[in-house]
Amino acid sequence: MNYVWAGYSVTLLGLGAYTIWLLRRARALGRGGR
Amino acid sequence: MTAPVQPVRTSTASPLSFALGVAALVSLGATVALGLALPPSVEQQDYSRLVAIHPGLAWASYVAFGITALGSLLWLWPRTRHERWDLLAGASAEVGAVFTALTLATGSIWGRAVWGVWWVWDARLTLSALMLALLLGYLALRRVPGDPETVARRSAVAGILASLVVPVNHFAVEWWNTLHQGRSALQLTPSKSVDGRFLFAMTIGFLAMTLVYAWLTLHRVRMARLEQGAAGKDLDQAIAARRAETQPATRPATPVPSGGVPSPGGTTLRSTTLGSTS
Repeated sequence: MNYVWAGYSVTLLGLGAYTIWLLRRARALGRGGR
Repeated sequence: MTAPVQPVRTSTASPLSFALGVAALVSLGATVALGLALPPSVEQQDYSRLVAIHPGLAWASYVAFGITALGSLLWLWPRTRHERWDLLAGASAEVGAVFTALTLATGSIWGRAVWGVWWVWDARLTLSALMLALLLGYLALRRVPGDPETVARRSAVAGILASLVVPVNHFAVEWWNTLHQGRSALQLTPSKSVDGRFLFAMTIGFLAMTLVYAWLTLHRVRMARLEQGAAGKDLDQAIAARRAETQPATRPATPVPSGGVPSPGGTTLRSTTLGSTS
């Protein structure tokens, strides 16, 4: 069962991390930053 | 007749992206709930619960390749050529790299649980790794400096060529003897041996990953436009700074110093080189 949790965790963490990076960068660009 | 002026976008958010994001979040939650609630299977026990996410991630990476190829084709086709297709192709490739990496990661975890190894140089696995390498190479190619037209053209050609790996990877489990199981989806005659609950969870997983992909790509395209705006602003500032360096604001009130050459406008020209950093 540990591998099942690992699979779901990796997926959600991966998608979450990319989403956070994307939204933070978009917000910075929208405010005129880099 | 002039073209309608579009408002300058300062954010990647919109009602469409909000609705898409809510749908993606809800379906992703449903996928996790359905997947973790699946009963153990005879062959793989608890590990078959990974069927709700792994095939969906792989599907989304296929979609990403397809959209990259489509955007590339639309840019290359003279009648449909528009900057938006190049941005779409680039955005889709970046999001696709995330999905491909997650496909490899979850597949490796599933392989360790069921096969006993994290990795084998199996046709499906190797081609999936090649897909990630092609996407990363494509993204690197987009960053190679050049005029926008040249960059877009070579990226479009690379995007189309890279997408050829998708059908090969999809049919790899039939063309070669592989450790990976056969195609679990997109079969004309789905296997009746698969329990309906697994098929349902997998289908919701496909839907969820497609929606997440669409939402991320939508934001990434809009972010690319913001990046272009920022780059243009930087260029304007650099040009203005250079002009300010070469055109002093005030004329010298003092006589021309020795070594300086009076210019027609009254300013002193010094022997500086344009483009040198100081």
